[in-house]
Amino acid sequence: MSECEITSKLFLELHDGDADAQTRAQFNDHLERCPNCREDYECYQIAVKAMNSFEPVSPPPQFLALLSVRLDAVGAPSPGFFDTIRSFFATAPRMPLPAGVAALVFVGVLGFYLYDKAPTNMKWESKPVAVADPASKPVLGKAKSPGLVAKGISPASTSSSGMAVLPRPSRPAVAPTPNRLSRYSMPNADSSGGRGRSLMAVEPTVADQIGADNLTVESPYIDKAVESVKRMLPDLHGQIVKENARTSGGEVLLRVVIPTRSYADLTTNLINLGAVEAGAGAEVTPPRVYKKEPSKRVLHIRFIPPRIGLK
Amino acid sequence: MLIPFETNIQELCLIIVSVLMFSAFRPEDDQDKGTVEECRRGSRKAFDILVEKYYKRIYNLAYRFVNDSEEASDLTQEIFTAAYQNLKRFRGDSKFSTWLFQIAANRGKNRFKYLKRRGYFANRSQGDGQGDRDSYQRELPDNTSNPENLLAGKELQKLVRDAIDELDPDHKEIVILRDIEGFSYDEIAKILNLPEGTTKSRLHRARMVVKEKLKKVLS
Repeated sequence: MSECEITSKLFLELHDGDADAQTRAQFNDHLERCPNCREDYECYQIAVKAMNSFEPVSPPPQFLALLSVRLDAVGAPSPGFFDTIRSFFATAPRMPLPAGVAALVFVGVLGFYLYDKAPTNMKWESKPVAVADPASKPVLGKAKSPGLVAKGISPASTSSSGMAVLPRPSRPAVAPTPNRLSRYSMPNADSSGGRGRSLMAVEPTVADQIGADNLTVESPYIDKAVESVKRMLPDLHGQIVKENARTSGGEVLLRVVIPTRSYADLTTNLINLGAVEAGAGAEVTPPRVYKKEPSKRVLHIRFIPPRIGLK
Repeated sequence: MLIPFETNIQELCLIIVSVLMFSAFRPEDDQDKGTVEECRRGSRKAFDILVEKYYKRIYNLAYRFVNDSEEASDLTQEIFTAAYQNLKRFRGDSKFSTWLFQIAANRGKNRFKYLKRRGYFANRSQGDGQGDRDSYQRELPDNTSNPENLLAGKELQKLVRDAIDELDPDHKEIVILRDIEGFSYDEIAKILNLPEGTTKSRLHRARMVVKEKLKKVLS
């Protein structure tokens, strides 16, 4: 770009007085040396000065009257719904921008705080993924330990909720609930030995009063667990002979009669689902024979809410 | 179906935030705000107040586009009628005066294009005598009262006016707003919805065109 082109681009800046001292000096220096640019700038100034000198013109005297007639002919526009809403906000007191931003930040922080502290009654726990763990397969055998326990739970993996739902028997077994169940041994099944250990040492349970012929199902969703067991029983030819209403502690007790041959399947399913704890007791006795039908056994299944503090 | 507790809180926060954002980011105070709101509610009297306030300046702006008092009067009425009919579309995100001058600049430019296509300005330039336009023009400031200088001044203004009429609509618009009507760069940027830098560069190009025409005649 030539010096003349650069100079001509500075006309507006120089005319408005916005150029710095150095630019002004260079500009004036060029004008002294270049008569063409000097003439150009003079014409530029004359043109701008001429435009600046245009005097304001006055409207004709009857202008307002003519306009009024025209506006009357047009008619007043009717305010719409959104105009009403808009006018509501427009009449609100204006808030200075810093105060508005501060209020915005405050509301945002408050919103996050309240969301975090909101009750969790609507939080849904994700169901455990059905993964069959060979290590968790119960060791079947004569019951020498008190009651039935589950096996193969890794103490490292913890879950305070226990199993949410007991599926139908046809569903694959899932990994047992961790960290509260010891090795399982079961009557009338091969067992690699080992005594089951009571998990009820922390506090006495209903199982202590009932005896060892019971299963305890720990679940945060007792109603669903009960329904699952109820759905499980027909396939195993079992039936519920008595159902106690929910206690004040949230416990439900089912008295179940089940064929002896199906007992292992039922307990296996419950154990494999990790929802079963042992009934406490110094001795373990096999489930009682159902007097009306000797081929069947009587079993108590107790549903309790999740407890904490148990190993 | 029971609505979860968190959702209610979230919805409430969203509403509050929206209201605060709308209030916080509203434009600066507009002196005509109250009057405009009354107009929106259908008050003709309120609109007359706005007309009384702005009609002279709008008329001047219109006149610079068309260079004729009858055309300017008609154009000004058209501008105010358009504003009256479209006031409900005015969102209030700018001053009312800015919005009004936007309408005026758009209508003036359109009218100028229309008249230029019809050869209006060419005919007037050829047959132009002194007419009513020149009676409104003041002579260029001159330290002497030499009649020759006065005549030269009037001639010069006529030359400049003719040069402006030959500009393209965008250049004429910005020359009128800045050099004739005296709007600031900031006001022009808002009226034309352009960055200030673009405004200045466009003005510079317009002035250079006028300068070239003037230079040809003077030399």
